[in-house]
Amino acid sequence: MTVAGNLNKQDPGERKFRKYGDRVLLRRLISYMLVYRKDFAVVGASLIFAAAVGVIGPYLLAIVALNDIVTRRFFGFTGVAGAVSAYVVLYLLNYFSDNKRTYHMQIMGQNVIQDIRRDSFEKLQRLSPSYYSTRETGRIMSYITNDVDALSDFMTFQLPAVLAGLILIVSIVPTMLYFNFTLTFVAFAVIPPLVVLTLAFQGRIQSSFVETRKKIAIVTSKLQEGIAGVKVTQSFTEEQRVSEDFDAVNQENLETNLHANKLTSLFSALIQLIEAGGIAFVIWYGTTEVIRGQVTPEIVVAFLLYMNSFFTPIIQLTTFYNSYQSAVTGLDRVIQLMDTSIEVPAPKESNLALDNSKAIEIEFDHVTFGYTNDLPVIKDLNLKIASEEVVAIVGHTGAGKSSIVNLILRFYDPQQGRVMMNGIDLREIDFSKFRDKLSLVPQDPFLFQATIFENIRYGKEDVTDQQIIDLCKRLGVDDFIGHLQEGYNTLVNESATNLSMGQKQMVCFARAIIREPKLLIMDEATSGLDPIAELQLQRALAISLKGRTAIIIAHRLSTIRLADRIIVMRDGEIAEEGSFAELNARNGLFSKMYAMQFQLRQSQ
Amino acid sequence: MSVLKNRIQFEKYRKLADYCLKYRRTIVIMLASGVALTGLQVAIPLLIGNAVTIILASKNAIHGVLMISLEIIGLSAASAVFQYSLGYGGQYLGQKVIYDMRNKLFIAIQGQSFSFHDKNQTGQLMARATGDVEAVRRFLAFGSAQILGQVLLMIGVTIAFWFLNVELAAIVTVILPIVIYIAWRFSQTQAPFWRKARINYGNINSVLQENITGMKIVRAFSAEEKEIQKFDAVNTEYRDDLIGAAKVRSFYTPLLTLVISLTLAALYFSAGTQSLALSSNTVLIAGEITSAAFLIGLLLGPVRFLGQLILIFQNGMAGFERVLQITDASVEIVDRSDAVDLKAEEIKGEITFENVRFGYGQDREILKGIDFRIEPGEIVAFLGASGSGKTTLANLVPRFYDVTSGRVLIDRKDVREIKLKSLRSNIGIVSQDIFLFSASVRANISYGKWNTPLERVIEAAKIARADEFVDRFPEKYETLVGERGITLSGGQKQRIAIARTIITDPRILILDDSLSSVDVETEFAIQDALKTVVQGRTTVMITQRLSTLRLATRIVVFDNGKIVEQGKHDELLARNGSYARLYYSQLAPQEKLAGQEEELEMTETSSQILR
Repeated sequence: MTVAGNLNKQDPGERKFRKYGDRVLLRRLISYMLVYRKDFAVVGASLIFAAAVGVIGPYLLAIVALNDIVTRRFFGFTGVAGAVSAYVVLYLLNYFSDNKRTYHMQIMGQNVIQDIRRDSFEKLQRLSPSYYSTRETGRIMSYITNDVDALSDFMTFQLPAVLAGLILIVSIVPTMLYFNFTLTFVAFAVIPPLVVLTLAFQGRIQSSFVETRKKIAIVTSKLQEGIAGVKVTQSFTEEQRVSEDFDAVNQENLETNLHANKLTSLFSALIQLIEAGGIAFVIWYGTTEVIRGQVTPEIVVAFLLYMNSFFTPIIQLTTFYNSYQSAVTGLDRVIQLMDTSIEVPAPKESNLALDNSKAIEIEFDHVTFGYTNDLPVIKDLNLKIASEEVVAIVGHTGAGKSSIVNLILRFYDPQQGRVMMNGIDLREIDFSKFRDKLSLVPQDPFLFQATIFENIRYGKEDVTDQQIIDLCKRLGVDDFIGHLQEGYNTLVNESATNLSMGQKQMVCFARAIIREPKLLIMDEATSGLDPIAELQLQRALAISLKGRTAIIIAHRLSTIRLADRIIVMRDGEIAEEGSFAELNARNGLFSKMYAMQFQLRQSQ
Repeated sequence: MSVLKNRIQFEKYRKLADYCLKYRRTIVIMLASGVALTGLQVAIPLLIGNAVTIILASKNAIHGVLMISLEIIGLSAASAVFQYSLGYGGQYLGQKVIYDMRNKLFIAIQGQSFSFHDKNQTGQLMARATGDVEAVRRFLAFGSAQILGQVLLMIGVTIAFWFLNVELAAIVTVILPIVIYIAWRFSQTQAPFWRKARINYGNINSVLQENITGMKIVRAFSAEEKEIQKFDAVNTEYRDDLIGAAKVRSFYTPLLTLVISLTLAALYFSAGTQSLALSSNTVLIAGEITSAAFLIGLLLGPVRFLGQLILIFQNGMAGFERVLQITDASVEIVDRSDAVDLKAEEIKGEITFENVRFGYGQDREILKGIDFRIEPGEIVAFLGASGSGKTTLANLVPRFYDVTSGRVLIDRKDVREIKLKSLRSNIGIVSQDIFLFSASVRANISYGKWNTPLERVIEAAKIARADEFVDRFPEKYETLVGERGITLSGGQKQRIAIARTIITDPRILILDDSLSSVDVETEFAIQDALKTVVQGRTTVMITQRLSTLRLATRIVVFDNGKIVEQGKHDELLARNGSYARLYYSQLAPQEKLAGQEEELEMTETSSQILR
């Protein structure tokens, strides 16, 4: 039995608010963007040009041309014709700049998203198994799909618009100040209510979006389970109830989203109202200034156009507030994933390596281990396995057999004591340095969606097809593969329905042996084999074990017999150990476990 | 060809409309708000133009302008309300529709036959219910309001121009169709990239899903690098699709901006020429051109955004297409219209296989003519090499698959003539590959019988010998298992699966190698307990182990999709055929490897057990 992590119903990664503030998140995002600083430079240059166009364009038409129209000046450089021609030239240039900007912005955005996705995936490759044992597959997937997608929207759609708007704002304000000081202040009288409104909504909108991300993660994981377990569901004709269950989380997701949408829709409507108020205010105040001769009507018109430019990005931002919030919330979750501390970390700068010439020697030195601190499943274990020794570990479920395997693979670290290979504490050696030298044949024969060749080659890419075929012949696995439609090139599908359980185990076995491991670990690895296949496999195993250390967890006597030594585990401790004959003679736990076989013999 | 394609396209829109029309009240509200909003939006530039005329015309315009300012505020307040109802209406529509869509997808997935699930990867299916559905939502929630708003706005602006100034209106009326044409070209060029992107998005999902479920193997084989490369490949392809689309966009979006800007220049030019006529009122023209500038300003943002809208629309339709591929996929195994119910109390439990042939899909034939009968109450063991067809045959009884030819009958009735629900609820099957749900032990055991009292759950757990380890869990039967809970060993999972099946009290019980990971002692204990359970039921036990055969009243030996021998242990052993070979082979390794004298006695032992 393995008690996995904590059993809180709450996902350790779930919180009510975001973990990081906008600033932290943006800084992280910017560090990703800086990789593409060349694209960014193009975008920046183009944005500055766009800002100039944004200032000069309205000036040419609203001030120069408007004045010309009123005064009937049309021809020449200073007339309507001149202003309009200048405007046309300006916008033709702007077209090229705009084209470059859009392109490089997209290149940058898509690359950043790709990098973030890859980095999160890489992080997942380094996270310890304990991370996985407390989260559903769907929930983890949601980080790399749903959450990164939300960010992707932001990077490729909104950010360009927002950046353009911001630069425009920066250039418009001085221009306005230049034309008329007081009118500028009047125009920006809308800023305080804007700020107040934003502050009032911010917290509520933020938490409502955190809620939506959580809900979609739940939907995703229900979905994943619903799909992965569909065959069981159908066997039990529970489709309807499962669908109702799904409907419940789907419904919750709906309501949470509607709530968030209501808030943002309201927010953006109010922003537009404020903008209109500002425009009205400028018209009214501008008129009084015109009357007092402080300002020309053209400038009031230009101000109105500038205000329009000023509000466009803000409005855009608020209509996109939904996706902005989704984006930062998504980013927050992705960064939480990336920053998750690794429970079983690789050592820093380790040059240690295992001696390649001999089989691995293992030592458990006063090892105490539990999946939770208060429930040890291995208790002060001392165990030495010599090089080339074949050890069988037996015991009832929950005795700690699989935990020993988990510790040898360093899926977990012990709470106390040391696990050593060739005298090196596993915590001081790089994962690949020792995992490369050992092979696991797992309890659950997991195969990848790839050909049989590729599956056997998994983890050792340089093996030739011929070597695989030779090995499979030696192991007696070749037979069934030859019967498959496309032999070794047959594609194993996801649930491997085209292979029987025993066949999957045989492939797993070949995959382990082809690596020529210095340590072979078999975790109840032959349970699905038929007697003849098992016999073949055992013969092959007897040969394959030469020159290797092996740990075999098994229930069947036939497999246990291969071992030089048998270790009987009970409640995390070694209850008995010795050779088959010794244990058999001792009349202890071992002989009791196999009493079924023995009692009859003794009665004869 | 293209007619057919068009029809399919049309079908797609009709189906999406079906989803939306359920919320026609929302749509009506959106339409009404859209029209009202457009009217108000268009009125404001006109008022601004008026204000300019007033200012230019008189030195004492304060009263008139104040009125206009107040009108602008009033109109804006009204437009904020309509803005809200249009914007929220879109979101509401989108959320409601995808809620329906997700449910429908989920139900479709639940209803699909085993062969469908063999072919479709979990990650791919998930991508449909997440990414693809989300694309539809984005279109409906955001796109529908925007598209509606913008189409109305274009119409509204054109109309406003006609009221404003005929010459200016003529210019706008000529140019807007050009804008729409460019947008349409834009969408056509971009679409293929998005379709490809959605496919690659599905690939990302399935690589990811496989990686997470196979995490331990990846680690144990230190193949993290390889996995990263695999992921990188699909991730890069996805990005390249999007960049391909971006290239198209970076051509068209600036083009649209340019066209609008040139329009504005043309308007000013025209206003300039109009002002040249001596009879003209230049102040009036100045007001009109200002209104025109603001009206065009209304279009500038949306037009720039048009490209993204088209993209949202296409992406949404591409997503919807992929949703339809699942919801509209034909289901292979369904109730016939004349199917009958099988009543539990009337089932005798006779199973007949009549010349059954079967192969998965186009693959080679796995069952090559199976012909035999299982009598009611019999306990039959299926024995044979891995891949010889035992599981495949068992899967035909609850109709997980349909035979290629021949018949499977229960009580002399073809299973295809029985309603699926009643067929499967009377068959309990414990499969090799155990799947537990992320739920408590209790919920898992009472999976098929939701309201079972705890005592019954414990009783079933006792029979399956699951009680002994469940009792040691801190929260006993309330302990969470499955992905987020306690990690169970193979043997523990099998025991829970057995309990889960026993509790449904099926007339026919199929145990597919379901004791393979259980230790010998426990196995024997479970078998003893099963002796009472199998009373009055028909039982099929698929097995690799001779030890499991103790309970069997008959042994059926499979080889390469055929039945080669059947009978009782002694008969079969005496026949000295396949069974004898299998039987002795299981004992042989011990002789060879351990070389101890007790081996012969062990053989004896096993024989006794089997008798």
